[in-house]
Amino acid sequence: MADTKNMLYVPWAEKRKEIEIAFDNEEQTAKAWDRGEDLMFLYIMTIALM
Amino acid sequence: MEKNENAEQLLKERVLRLKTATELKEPDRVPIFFPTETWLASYTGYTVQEIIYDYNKMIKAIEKSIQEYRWDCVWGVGSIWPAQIFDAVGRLDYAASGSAFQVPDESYMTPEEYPELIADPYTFIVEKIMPRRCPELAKTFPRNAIALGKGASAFALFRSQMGAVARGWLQAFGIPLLVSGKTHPPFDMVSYCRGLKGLLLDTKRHPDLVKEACEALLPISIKYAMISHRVTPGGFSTVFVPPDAAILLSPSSFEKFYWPTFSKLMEAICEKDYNAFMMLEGNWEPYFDFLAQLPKGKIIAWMESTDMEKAKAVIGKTMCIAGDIPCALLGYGTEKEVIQYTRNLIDKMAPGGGFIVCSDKEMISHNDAKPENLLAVTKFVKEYGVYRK
Repeated sequence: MADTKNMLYVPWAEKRKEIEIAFDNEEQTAKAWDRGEDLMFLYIMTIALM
Repeated sequence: MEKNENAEQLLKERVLRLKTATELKEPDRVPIFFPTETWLASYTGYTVQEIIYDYNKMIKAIEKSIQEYRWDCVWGVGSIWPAQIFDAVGRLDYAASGSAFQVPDESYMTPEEYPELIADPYTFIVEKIMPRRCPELAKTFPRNAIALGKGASAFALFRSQMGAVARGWLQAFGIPLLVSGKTHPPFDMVSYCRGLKGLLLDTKRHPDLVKEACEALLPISIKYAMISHRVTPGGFSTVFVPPDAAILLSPSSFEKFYWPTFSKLMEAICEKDYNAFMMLEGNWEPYFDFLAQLPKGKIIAWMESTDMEKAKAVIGKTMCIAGDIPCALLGYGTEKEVIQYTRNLIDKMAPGGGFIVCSDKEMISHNDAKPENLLAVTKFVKEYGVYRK
């Protein structure tokens, strides 16, 4: 069986640093959250309706 | 990744070829691709489990096929999901199947719950269907939230990695993705909640509720297509639409239950100026009159067991037709037999354009194609499929 740890590992601390650098205003941060919501919608569709 | 020297030129040619065929015109030659799904595992010397758990192996397998066959597009990177996104929430039917995604037909709602689904379909899917379908999400907080978080993280990572990989292929190999988005028609979405057997019974016992449920799910079906589709600048891609349950209905039931929301979905995709790739499994001849009403020059219809000549005659002025070299022939036939079949196919289907050569099914198992047959047919189409003007 292949090692599954790498796929599930998310470097949150590094990601957060990237987000802080990338988004310096509220509008951009809101857009990032929208993208997150879209991603969750797609994930829900994938696991629930397939 | 070994870069093709003339990648930019190749990309322009391939995109133009696919676009022209989709717009029902004659390109420079008949486009060709093969939907290589988990077949890629044995082709590269991996097991299916290895490629669905380790996406680097999947990427290597796809790149090997890109470099060896040089088709006009890559089938898509999302046709084989990483198993972690299902494992995390306890859906074990994916990884357990061993050769491909086999979905058991089970009902996750009762007929009495239709009003709840109709009133707020998204909430119903999240709060009722997901915990019933995914055992880890039925556990008490915080275990359910942790499971969802793990799965969603793996999904986000997969999407971001594969987006970058696909852009890399575009630049390095000059090859576009054929499928970059996906959705399901509303009737199929209802079937994933209620189960096929339950839904088909409901069309007789609760016909109005089934129609209302399809209408309620239409906005979600359209949203799925719009959000999932990524248009890469300079590329060519489509929204994958598999109308799975349609051919289980008689034409009169199809007209009543399937067509009203299916046609609205297809119109919404085409209105947005997206292309759609419909996987028409089985024999679609009884539904040709409906398909002929869909938007023209925007849809590719991939045929499995439909009479190709009749399809060209009736729906060939509406949609580009793709198919239909049998996987059985690619897997068990000789090179000569495969080329003979393809010659006849091109002779019948290519004149006037609007035609793409591919197999009749997704290539899932080792026996779905011999690599040498794919090489022979690809070489043949690149020579014989040229339109002489």
